[in-house]
Amino acid sequence: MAVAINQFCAIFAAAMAIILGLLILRRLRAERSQSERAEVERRVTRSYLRRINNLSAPNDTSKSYRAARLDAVSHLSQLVRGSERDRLLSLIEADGLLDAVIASATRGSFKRRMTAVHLLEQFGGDRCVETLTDVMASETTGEVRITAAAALARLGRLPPPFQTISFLEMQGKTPNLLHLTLFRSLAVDHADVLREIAQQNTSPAFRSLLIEALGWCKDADMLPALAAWSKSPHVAERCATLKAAAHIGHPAVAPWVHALLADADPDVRALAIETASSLGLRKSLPAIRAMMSDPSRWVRVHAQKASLGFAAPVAA
Amino acid sequence: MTGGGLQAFGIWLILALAWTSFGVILIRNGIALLQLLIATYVFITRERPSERAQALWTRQADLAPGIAVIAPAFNEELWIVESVRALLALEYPSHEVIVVNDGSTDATLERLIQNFALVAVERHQVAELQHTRILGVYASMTFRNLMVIDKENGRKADAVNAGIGFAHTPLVCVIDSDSIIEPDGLLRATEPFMTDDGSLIAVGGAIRVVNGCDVKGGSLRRIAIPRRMLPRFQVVEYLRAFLTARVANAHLGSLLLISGAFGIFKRSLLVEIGGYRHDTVGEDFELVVRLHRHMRDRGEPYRIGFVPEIVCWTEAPETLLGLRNQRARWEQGALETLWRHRAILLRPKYGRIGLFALPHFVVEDVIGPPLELIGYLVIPAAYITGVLAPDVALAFLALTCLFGTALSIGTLALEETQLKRTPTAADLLRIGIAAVLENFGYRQANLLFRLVGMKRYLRSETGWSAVPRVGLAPE
Repeated sequence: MAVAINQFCAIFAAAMAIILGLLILRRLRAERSQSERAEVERRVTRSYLRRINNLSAPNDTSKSYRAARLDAVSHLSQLVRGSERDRLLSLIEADGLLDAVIASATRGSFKRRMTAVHLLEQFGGDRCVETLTDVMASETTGEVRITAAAALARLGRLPPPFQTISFLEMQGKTPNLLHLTLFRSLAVDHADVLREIAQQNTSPAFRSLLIEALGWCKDADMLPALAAWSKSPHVAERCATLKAAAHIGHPAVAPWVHALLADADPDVRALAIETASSLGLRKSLPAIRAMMSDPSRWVRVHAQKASLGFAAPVAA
Repeated sequence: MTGGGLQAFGIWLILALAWTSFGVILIRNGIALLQLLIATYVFITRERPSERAQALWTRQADLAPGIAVIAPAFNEELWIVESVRALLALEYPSHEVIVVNDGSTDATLERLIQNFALVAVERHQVAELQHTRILGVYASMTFRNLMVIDKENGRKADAVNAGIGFAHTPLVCVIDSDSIIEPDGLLRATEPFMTDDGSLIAVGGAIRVVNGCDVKGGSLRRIAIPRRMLPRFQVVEYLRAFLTARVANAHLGSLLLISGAFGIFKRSLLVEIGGYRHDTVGEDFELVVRLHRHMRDRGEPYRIGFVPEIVCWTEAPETLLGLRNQRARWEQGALETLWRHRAILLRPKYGRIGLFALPHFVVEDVIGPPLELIGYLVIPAAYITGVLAPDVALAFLALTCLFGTALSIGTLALEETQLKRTPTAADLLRIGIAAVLENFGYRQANLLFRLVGMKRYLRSETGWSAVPRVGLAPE
């Protein structure tokens, strides 16, 4: 056994030393070509900037430049806006970079597919949206699907609610912050549908997400539904209506926000104080001041903060 | 007992100690190798982290949970203003900074008041977790997200508990007074909460040694490796600890330690368990073990995550005295925690924490150090006197020095392929050499320091042996 251990240790040490030696050599080579690489990146970036502005520029499409080009367009896509962005996207397509990214989104390792999804989001554009939707619908790994969905949400191109819920198999899953992103994105154009889904027989956690997201629709037609949910037996749902109310910012929410100041649950009361404060509901101030002797310390702290906030001079 | 009998007993004892030492070292190294392999797997298969904070910001800006960064401060007049400015400048959509002045005897509070336009305010705590008196609460007229708590001295745990009591945010980030957080450190460390189903209760991040780096204005400007060998050895150690052990343990759901230099926790849970304990010098280790115990007692699903990206830099001791104090304190803290939570050892109810993680700590921190030291004495003696075969003696040397070196180099290779934060090829070579040399003296010195910690634990010493700070000017 001792001999075997000695041999194993020696082989393991030798292997690690060789690997590190190779990595050092690789790094040395990279350092020596760093200035050259930096110049390539600068040249590529300058080329794209000129082409975005319809100026002539050299465009080296050789494979050796592909990594530099991808990096340059990835960076530029986060910096340019409007017509320049559209122009950049058309250049990305013309240079064949988009094909490579689209191909990576559906095959290869998990890491590669996720990188491709993020790049597609950065680029935007119809082909990217189409690919992201395909990934969301058919990708086998849940994490990649939801990342694609979140990307579509940020692009404002998420499939309609029922399709989104179906693609992501959301019913029966515990929702998370990313799911909230999705529904917020859908709330602007599909508020009626979200309200309809929330009114169906669904879990309180899922319904809470939908209720909160409705705050992003900024549609006063949702107010009666929110008012009804403010009386829900589930704490999470009552909290969600308060968050939605804070975001909608409509004066019609005042009565039931005020009513929730007297809720049985301390978390709801605290959130009601925060909501009343953010909406500037001065009529609730006496009730909030009275809550400075609330049995819950959490509520008392919020009441004190809100009272001070109301007392502070309003900026001109 | 006859002379011959005594001799036989002596030989038996030497052999027993030698083989026991050998066995324990074999187990420790086997576990370390397994951790390296698991960490390699995790790095290879995980999503590539965003290179630019801008991408993270775009994805998280309107979803990021509020965080209160709690920074305890004791006699920090020289650095406090810069440190707080750096904390306020962290890239995060909604964070507040709570500085807790823990009874400083210098001008720490005065400098804060002067430089951040602080005014005394009345604020009530959500929970009173500290044991000392709060002397005052200050808000800044220029930075709305800055709060300063002035309190009587009670050491770090007490200071952090005071800060937790004033936080309203869902998450708190607990740091050391000398922690330098990367500008996008909070963004990276909270990324796991984006897909959290409610079970994530804490996240740790990778920490590196800042010695030798260029630090200005409380922020890291240029990475460099230390010129002196002692902190350079610690660079290697930190890489091993954070890039292999913690990554592997987090992957297996058995992470027992989130460094006090940087950790993110759910505020409500910290309040529920009463915050940090005041009666241990290893409060960070004890807190995480208690969190595990609490959640398993409740029978609720939970996760403790780890972000292998570097989110924080911290100063390592530059002198042997400072290192001794630090390592002895860590050892003492580990023993205090293990003893306090001995009831969960080997109990199936506590799953892999009770059955694997904590027993591993016992092997690593209780049994391992003295036995390895005994091995250094006994095995050569046994070989010289002819009672132990040369192969076995060589195997001991191979396991302690050669295998240890290989693990360190393997970790370095992992860092180079996955994180690439070592500045140059020459620096990589220098750290590689340090990875070899640390096994000839430094490792053994650490074992001795751990014995000092054991002695302090057995004598129930409660003093906090400080580690002298040299400041962070470039070398």
